[in-house]
Amino acid sequence: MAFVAEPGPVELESIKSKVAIVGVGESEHSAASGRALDQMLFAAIDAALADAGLSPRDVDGLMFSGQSVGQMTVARFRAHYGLSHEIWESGAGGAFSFAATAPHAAYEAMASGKASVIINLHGTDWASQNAADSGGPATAHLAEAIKSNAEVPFGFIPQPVYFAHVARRHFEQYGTTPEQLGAIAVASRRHANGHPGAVMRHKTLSLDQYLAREPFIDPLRIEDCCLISDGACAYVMTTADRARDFPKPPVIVEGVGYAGAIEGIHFAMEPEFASTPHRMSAPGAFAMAGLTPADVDVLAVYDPFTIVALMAIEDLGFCPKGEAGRFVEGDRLAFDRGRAKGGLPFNTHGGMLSHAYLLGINHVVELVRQLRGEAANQVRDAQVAVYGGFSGVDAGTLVMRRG
Amino acid sequence: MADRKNFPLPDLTHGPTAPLWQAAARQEFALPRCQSCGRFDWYPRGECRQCHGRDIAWTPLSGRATLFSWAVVKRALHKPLAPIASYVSAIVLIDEDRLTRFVTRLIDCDPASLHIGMPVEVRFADIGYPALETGIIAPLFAPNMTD
Repeated sequence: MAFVAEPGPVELESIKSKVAIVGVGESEHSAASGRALDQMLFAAIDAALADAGLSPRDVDGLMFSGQSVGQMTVARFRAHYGLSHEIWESGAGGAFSFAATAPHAAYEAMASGKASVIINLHGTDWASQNAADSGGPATAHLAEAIKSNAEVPFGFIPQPVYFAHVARRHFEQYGTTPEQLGAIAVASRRHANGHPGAVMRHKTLSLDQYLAREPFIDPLRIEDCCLISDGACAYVMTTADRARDFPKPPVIVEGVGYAGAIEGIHFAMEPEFASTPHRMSAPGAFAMAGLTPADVDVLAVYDPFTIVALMAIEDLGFCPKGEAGRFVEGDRLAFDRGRAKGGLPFNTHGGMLSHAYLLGINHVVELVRQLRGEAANQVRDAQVAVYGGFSGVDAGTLVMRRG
Repeated sequence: MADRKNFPLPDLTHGPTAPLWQAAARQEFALPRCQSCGRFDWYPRGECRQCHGRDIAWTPLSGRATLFSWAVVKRALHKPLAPIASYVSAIVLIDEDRLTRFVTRLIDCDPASLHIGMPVEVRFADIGYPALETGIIAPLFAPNMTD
């Protein structure tokens, strides 16, 4: 199955209970650091392997983003660890939606005997790139021909400008308010304050502080936008029947979904403008898992902007479309309220808004720790977790269960 | 005069979008339209989204539209746009087909007076208006005071 952003949902063969995540790791996350991407990636791999009780020679599969620059190659991996054995590789991994769909592509490799222990990884040095004016998140958008000729000259660039327009439409259509976007920023920050690895661990944010800031791309405030940080994350997958051989409680993949936006990278033209492709990706993942949003104990969504996180909550089915604004008010998203008390523990590490700009693979790492019971902001008795991955042009949904 | 060297200008040799800028230079607002069913092909695919027809022609329009959404960009994160900040980025729905959105910029308006659905009208002005003279005329929009 190729994960290419064609319009609409993709039909996926069931991999329910076939794949386990048995190791997670991350590098240090920071502002512009000048650290080389490789240095951060190998730190994350080392940590994930140690967590799984494995050595580099046990790895026979590598997944990374083939679309992002400089992520990984088998040759670099072998050279770094002094290895020479056969290693399967796939560019269908990494972060974004692919941190959700990587287990599906990994299972195909496992089932056909190409690999049995597969690392999926992603790193970013965009904070350093931004500081050096050498790249960053807008690069692909500036290079796209229609956008560079019919959007950029009008000032419709970069992503905060797009999503300010989306937020305005959501306000108009559904009555969503800045205070409700603020509730997401505040919940995320509180979680980061309790997470020792979060970039924003020492900086608090109250709703009053949020509202006191003037919007800079009106209606968005700085705190509505994710961090741009340097770092890397990795997770180790194997078949579910081997999962008991590892030191940590296994996390079992129960469902995967994937869907493409209708107009691809041309967000301005997307017919359902105040929605995300999560609405098309989630149903397949929940159906594969035999679960519903009501069964989910902890949620992590790709959160480049508060408005995207807000739409993800409703588009994934945690409340009716248009009601996420009212849904997220108060402490609904706090890790320590929980589903039994009407809550929805959300981005319990702080997300991209306040933990790190790891484009969602850090969200999967956090959810694995939640299901093992070893998270910094532990949700009591977390059994089922969902990651909602997103890249703008597509969405991927990953449903996981404590093994 | 602010620095105009780096201001993002369109590539007038880019086939799918060049007619937009050529029309603007003639003080015309035009978009590609399917000659079979009348649906607009914007952004250009060369095949109609509605009827899959391929007979598509650039068609002059009234220049009347309504405001779909907007953002007040007080600080340009894309640095070459800094000379025009603060500016109002906008998406408008053209009167000829309310399914067709056009990304533009609103000029000569008070951001506090804007609301979704308000009538707006094309204004042919330099793409760098009011800060820069680039020589490229663009279909910018402004609130339509006559409605």
